[in-house]
Amino acid sequence: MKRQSIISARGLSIGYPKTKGRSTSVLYEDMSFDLYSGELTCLLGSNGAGKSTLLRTLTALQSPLKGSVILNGKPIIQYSEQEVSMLIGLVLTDKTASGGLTVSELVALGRYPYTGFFGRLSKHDDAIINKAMSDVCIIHKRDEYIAELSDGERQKVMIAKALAQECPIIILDEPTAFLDIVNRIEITNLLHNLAVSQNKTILLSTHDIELALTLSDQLWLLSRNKGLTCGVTEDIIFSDSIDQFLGNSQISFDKHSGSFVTKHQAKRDINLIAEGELYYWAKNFLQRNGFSISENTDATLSLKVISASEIEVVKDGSTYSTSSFGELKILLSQL
Amino acid sequence: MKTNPKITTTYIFLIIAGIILLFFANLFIGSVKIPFDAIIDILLGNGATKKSWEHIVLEVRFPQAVTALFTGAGIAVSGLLLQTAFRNPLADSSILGISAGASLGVAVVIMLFGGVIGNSVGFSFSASMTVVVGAFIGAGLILLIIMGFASIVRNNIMLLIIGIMVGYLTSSVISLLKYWSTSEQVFSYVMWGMGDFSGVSMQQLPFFCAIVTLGLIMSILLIKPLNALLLGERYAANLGVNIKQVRFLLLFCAGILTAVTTAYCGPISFIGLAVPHIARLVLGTTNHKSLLPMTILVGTFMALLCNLISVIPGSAGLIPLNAITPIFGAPVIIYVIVNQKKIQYFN
Repeated sequence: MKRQSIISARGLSIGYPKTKGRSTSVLYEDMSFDLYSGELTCLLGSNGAGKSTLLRTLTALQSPLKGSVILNGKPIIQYSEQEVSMLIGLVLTDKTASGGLTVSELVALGRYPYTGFFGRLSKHDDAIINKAMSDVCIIHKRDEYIAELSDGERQKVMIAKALAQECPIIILDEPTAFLDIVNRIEITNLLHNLAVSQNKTILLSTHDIELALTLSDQLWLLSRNKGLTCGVTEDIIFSDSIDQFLGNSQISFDKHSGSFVTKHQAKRDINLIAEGELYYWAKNFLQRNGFSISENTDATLSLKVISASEIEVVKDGSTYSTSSFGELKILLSQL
Repeated sequence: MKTNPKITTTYIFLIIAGIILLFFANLFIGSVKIPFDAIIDILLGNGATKKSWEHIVLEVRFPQAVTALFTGAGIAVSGLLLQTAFRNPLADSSILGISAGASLGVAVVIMLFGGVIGNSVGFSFSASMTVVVGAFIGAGLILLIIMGFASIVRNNIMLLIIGIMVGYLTSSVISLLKYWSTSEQVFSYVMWGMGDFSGVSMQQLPFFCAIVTLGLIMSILLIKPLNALLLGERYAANLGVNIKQVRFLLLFCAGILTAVTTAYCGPISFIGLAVPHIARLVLGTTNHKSLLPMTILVGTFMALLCNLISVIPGSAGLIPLNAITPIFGAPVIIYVIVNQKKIQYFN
């Protein structure tokens, strides 16, 4: 079964056209991609890779250099501003001057394309605004000023605004950039649920790789050297693309943990015996301190972690005990 | 900084009552002492014992009060439009150099072509039109320059500084014009520059009010995009706002209001800058649906109050308006800047 994509592009070139004193700067050539409804897609790329340029081109805020972005079977530049505003909702990192608006007033701005000349809201509009606020769990603060909200709550309000816009597509530029970990997880979770429950097409750019890997259905990787690659998250992981697109000589992607790790200059082999979280953190400790974990049980050095306060080191047949990782560090440096 | 709708209604009621009170105070109090009953008689159309009293109340004080009413509303709204358009709470037509542009236009008309303003003898409709057109061309020219810079310079503070610089450049041209002019022309220009609401005669009043009303109606039609612009241009564009068009309309509207009021009353400082802040502080909201009407009310109130104060010396003459407006305006701006962390519309 072939899925119908809602936004697609074939042979798209993006970048900046020639201006006075500057020649055309092409960021990417011959890009192809599809976005599907009901899915959360994360766009990953290092700083300066051109994520924002790609998002701007996708949302018709910037024209492509070659080719076109096809939205529902028609090039996006053929849509009027108002038509686009009903199809694509944006959430940006821009600083707004909206501190003096209440939550419901800001979300009501999402109805802008639908209301008349004076922006009067109908009962139907009010119902949509209320639903948008409850969908992002911010309705209890509906009469509070934006100035009184936390960064995470503000981001939710902007997402509610995009929902009130009733767009099948929502595009977010680093929605979790200024948030703490709890809010990052909450917002990303929320977006994934919205994609599934309301059949929205959601594309977001992020630096939060671990979260993207857990929650996104599709991954888009962008790198100046390799271009754009798209695919289902797990396919991307097993194709080793993540390392090639985002890693470098010092940092590499670890498939076991789903995160980036520093490539350590390991000096000594060690055999590690531990279970579960103890294994994970003992390994973390050893790698950071210049050891490489060896499967070889005959290694001269062996570490057995029974609990966080019972750690044994075996070297040349003799056993040394310590009661913390702090002591272990001193012990290992002496052995 | 929460405001309760009930308190807001009370404020609005108080301000409207204050405007009515001040309007009549402007009719009753002036540099010539006229008995209370006589004024009541004149207002009721019963005539007065002295013909000159009738003239003073109906031909001088009445148009002056009406001019203050409309000018206050007009420049306050132009300040609000510029503050939202540039997303800068310190923008207004005098800081961005637009008033200076209007002044330049007026200076050219007075000093190069010998036009006259105000109640001077022989001031015909066409002559007053020349001054208005001069002010409008001057204001428009500076607006175009500022808009040009606005498309290059993204930083609003930098843009504000450019506005101040353009204002200085304009002033230097005005200084040159003054240097080459006769002393009567310079005096006429200096008097105009001090600002007063007596420049509109009864004959010109309908024309003046019509233009200001037109500008105010236009600003009311822009309420919806003004609110969207609070989110910044990229968000507004995503909501379907035609940014270029709305920006042009906003600046055009602010330009008309500045030009017409400046042409007749001189470059009046601080009302455009401070009144939108007073309105925001009173309301607590930046939603233009209530902020714009409130700005009109507060602007009207302030202008009538300043006009009333200007006649305090009695027979000794008038205090220039631009000596009074900073007394109210400057403390408001200082308060706003000092307390900006606590004021929600900054956050």
